[in-house]
Amino acid sequence: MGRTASLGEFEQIVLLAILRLDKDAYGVSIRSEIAARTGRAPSPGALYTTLDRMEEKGMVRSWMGEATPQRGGRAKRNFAVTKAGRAALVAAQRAYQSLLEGLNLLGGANACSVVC
Amino acid sequence: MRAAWFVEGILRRVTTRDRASAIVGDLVEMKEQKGAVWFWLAAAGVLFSLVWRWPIAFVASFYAGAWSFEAFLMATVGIHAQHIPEDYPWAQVLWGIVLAGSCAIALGVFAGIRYGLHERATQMVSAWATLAAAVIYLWWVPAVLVTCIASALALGLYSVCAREGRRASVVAWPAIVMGVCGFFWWAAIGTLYQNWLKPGPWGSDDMLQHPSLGWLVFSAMLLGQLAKLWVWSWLRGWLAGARKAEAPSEML
Repeated sequence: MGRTASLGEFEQIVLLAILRLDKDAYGVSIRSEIAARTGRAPSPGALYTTLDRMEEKGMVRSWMGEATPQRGGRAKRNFAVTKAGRAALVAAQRAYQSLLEGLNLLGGANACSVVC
Repeated sequence: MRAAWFVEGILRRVTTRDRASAIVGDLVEMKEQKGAVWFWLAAAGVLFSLVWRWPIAFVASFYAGAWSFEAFLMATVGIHAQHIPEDYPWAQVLWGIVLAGSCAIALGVFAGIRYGLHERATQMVSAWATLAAAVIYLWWVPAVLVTCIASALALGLYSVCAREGRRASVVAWPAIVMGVCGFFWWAAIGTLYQNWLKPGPWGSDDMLQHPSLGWLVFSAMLLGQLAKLWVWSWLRGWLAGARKAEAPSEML
């Protein structure tokens, strides 16, 4: 196994959304999940280029799913996180956790001094 | 729905058929809630995000290739060249390095912008371009020449022995060879047309009287550039497809 690839913020958000959606992860559901959880709906262009880039890096895998009448008879492109993607996500989250340690941003004295 | 077919037809020209179909399917699904204006804006946004790198990479690569070719040529056999090789066979070798080196620079710029510097093929072609530039500008300094030869051998060894090196070479070298062929292509077309217009040496007045020669050569250069970049993109896509097929079980 080589060095773990680094991830940008949006890449982490997309990977987490795919993980949350499990087997139902495709363009529309990923966008909706991100909008529901972060309050910001990504533009379709940004989402598709990020998904393509992560697939090229081997962090996600895609396959064509079923076609539905709501989609004009077009198939969904489903996504799943690969082992490499999960490893990169874990490494990024560990780095965040390490930096957050002791800051107590979500509660306590630091929360007020930063947010207020 | 006519709008969806139209958008899908355009997207198919910049991405694969499956991806274009899935993207349009997503947009059609979301159109129910968001409306027709959103659909067209989103389609335009997707198209722009898929293609914006290509024209920038193409123009920058063309300029870098032309600029480096002229600079290398001047450094090697131009009137300001500090050292011109007297030994004829070595002059031929330097000519080859000039052609391959400027192709490598053009490809490095293209791949760096289009696909990113993290890719091994981009790094490899950039390494070859650096070595070529070092030889062209300092070939008469023994220490530089020996270092460049040793580095070239090491790079060649890596290209043969390491898996990633082999993959990078499969993309880089055919594209460089296509680029070198492109030089002969536009030079031959230009020479033939020039001789057909007016045999013998030309002055600046002749060039002004026959601007079609400049346009023809420029068009032939653009075609050569397209062929070179197409080879790179096609081989890269082909290798990515092969790699994906190799590891279907790399799932979570």
